[in-house]
Amino acid sequence: MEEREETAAGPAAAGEAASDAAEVDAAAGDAADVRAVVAGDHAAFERIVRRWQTPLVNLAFRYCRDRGRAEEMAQDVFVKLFRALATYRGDSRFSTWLFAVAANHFRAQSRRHSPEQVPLEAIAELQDPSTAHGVLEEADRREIVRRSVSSLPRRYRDAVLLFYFFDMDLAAASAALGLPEGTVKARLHRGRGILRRKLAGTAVTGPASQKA
Amino acid sequence: MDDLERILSSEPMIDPAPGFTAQVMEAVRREAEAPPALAFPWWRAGIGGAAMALLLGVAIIALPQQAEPAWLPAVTGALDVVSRILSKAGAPLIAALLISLVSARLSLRATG
Repeated sequence: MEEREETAAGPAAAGEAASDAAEVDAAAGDAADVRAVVAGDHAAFERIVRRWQTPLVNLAFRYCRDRGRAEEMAQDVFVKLFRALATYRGDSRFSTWLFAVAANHFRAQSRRHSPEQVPLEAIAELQDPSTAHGVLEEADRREIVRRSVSSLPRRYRDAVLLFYFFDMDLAAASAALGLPEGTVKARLHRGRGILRRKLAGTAVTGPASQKA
Repeated sequence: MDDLERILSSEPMIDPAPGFTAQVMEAVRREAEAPPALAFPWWRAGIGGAAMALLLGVAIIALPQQAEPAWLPAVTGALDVVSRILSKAGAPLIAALLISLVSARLSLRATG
């Protein structure tokens, strides 16, 4: 048993070390590219774009739920970063700064162009007792959760979106929001509480899912 | 981990469109080529503000010591007449129009 645990921990630890090494490489790459862009080498910015485009587009997508709009919003953030790069002092990691700028922009944009918010009560399937007993497909369950997250008050929605975007890393979510960890933790707790109440009795947190 | 947590933490990832990087770099190139935005003239505004403050200070100190000038009753009388006319003819509206006109003229002069 112990042996199995050791062998199981081996690849896990190796994977973690590899991921840490990749992060260090990315951070070093960012620092070098930022210096190059500030010195006038605009082509170095392309490496920054390639490194961060997928996370930024995905974060934008969680705010707007529209692929085209997510790309537009991510592009705006890259242009904003390019303009502001000279003001980046390097006190925090480049990725922390980048996500703080991005989250701020996406929040402001989502205030202007709110995605269509359909109240949960309007989703007919939820009112159907058969769906609350496990008939609902996984895609529908995800859609219900997305809609209920979108309908959260902004402060709780931002905390929930960023916490799960950063793989439940509270420090990263707090840095992106520019708020103390305690505040984000409290908002997260409250947000999840509202979600559970909204989804109570539905196929997401209802009897079917609780069995699973 | 319940169903809610599971769904929230396993959101599927999307890939940017193939031409996304090129599109961003094109926007960045346009941004780099654009002339820099006009900076607010803080230096001139500072000098102007300081001069105004100085003038106001001098006026506050000097005015009470001087005797009332001969032209002052005429000016205050004229102002009184103007204010009476304005109060009859919708003073707030006229004042707002005047302020808008003056600020528009100043803006045009500053930018043009």
